[in-house]
Amino acid sequence: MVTITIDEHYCKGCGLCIHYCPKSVLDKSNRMNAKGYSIPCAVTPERCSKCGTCELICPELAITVKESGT
Amino acid sequence: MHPIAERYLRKDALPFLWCPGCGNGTILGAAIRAIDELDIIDEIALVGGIGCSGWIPTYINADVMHTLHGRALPCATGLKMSDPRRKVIVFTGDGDCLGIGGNHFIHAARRNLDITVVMVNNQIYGMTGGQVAPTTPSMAKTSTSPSGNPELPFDACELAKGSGATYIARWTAGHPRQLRRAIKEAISHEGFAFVEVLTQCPTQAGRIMHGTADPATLLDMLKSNSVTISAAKKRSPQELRGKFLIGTLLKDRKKPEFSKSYFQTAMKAGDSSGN
Repeated sequence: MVTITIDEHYCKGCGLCIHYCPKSVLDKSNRMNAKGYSIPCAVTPERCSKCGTCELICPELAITVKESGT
Repeated sequence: MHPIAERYLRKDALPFLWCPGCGNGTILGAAIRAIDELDIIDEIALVGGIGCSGWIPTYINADVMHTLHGRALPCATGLKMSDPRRKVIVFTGDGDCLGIGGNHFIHAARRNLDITVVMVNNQIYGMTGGQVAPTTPSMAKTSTSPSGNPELPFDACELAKGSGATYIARWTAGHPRQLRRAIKEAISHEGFAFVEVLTQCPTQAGRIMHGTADPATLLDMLKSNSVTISAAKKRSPQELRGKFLIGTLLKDRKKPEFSKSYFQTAMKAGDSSGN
């Protein structure tokens, strides 16, 4: 089981993680952070292949993909 | 925040000042991962120029010099010569490095000084409002070329090659894995190592040159305009016009390295004068 955490304190809602996820795990959510940025969320985390592309592309280093239980 | 950021960044300097979707953050991520894999955090000395890319080192918890516009390379030269054991990594932009800093760039490369230069290329002077830069494509619209850029741009990697750099690579901010590897190779390379990184600039180049501020659209545009060396071999010159060649463009050119040869000749001069 994979846990995808987006630190909404730093996320600027740029959408790069959503766009470059090869499994379309992420999408825009209704959540807005305190600065007014629209924060993404993992809509289908079971499809995540742990490729790490979202972590590597995120310009704020705000997204973390972790194997649950570690 | 990602564990790599927890480990390497200055918490009190956060959040990053860059615009949403700016490639600078991705490039910083690739750089700290490269530093982490080489395990050299105690040996590095970072230098930043002026411009958005010059802020990259200021977020890293290491010895950092934030220098005057265009003068990152002479500062890095002084830094390296004062302690050649340091792995000096310069973060500069296309305007800082090739505009006002152009002269220092060619001489640092000519000397084959053992430093790494990561030049973030957004093809514009972004921080000051989107003015035309030495790398702005021909006919591109900017705030100072509203009818189109009448000049032809530099190919920074060709300039580095002609000046004498001994390691040259080019990637985009949409190639974080390859970029991390290139930065590692550049740091490990003994000599002047130049890594150009084409990046999206949503607020300036994006809106003014391309009519969109969407980071993914802009990065996709950059990636589709980039051709790897192996792919380029199969394309015609017409197909390659306007495209960027990406990959490791030059490696292992053997030349004396400045910080070593300077002290060797200086020692010799000292001996011959009887001191």
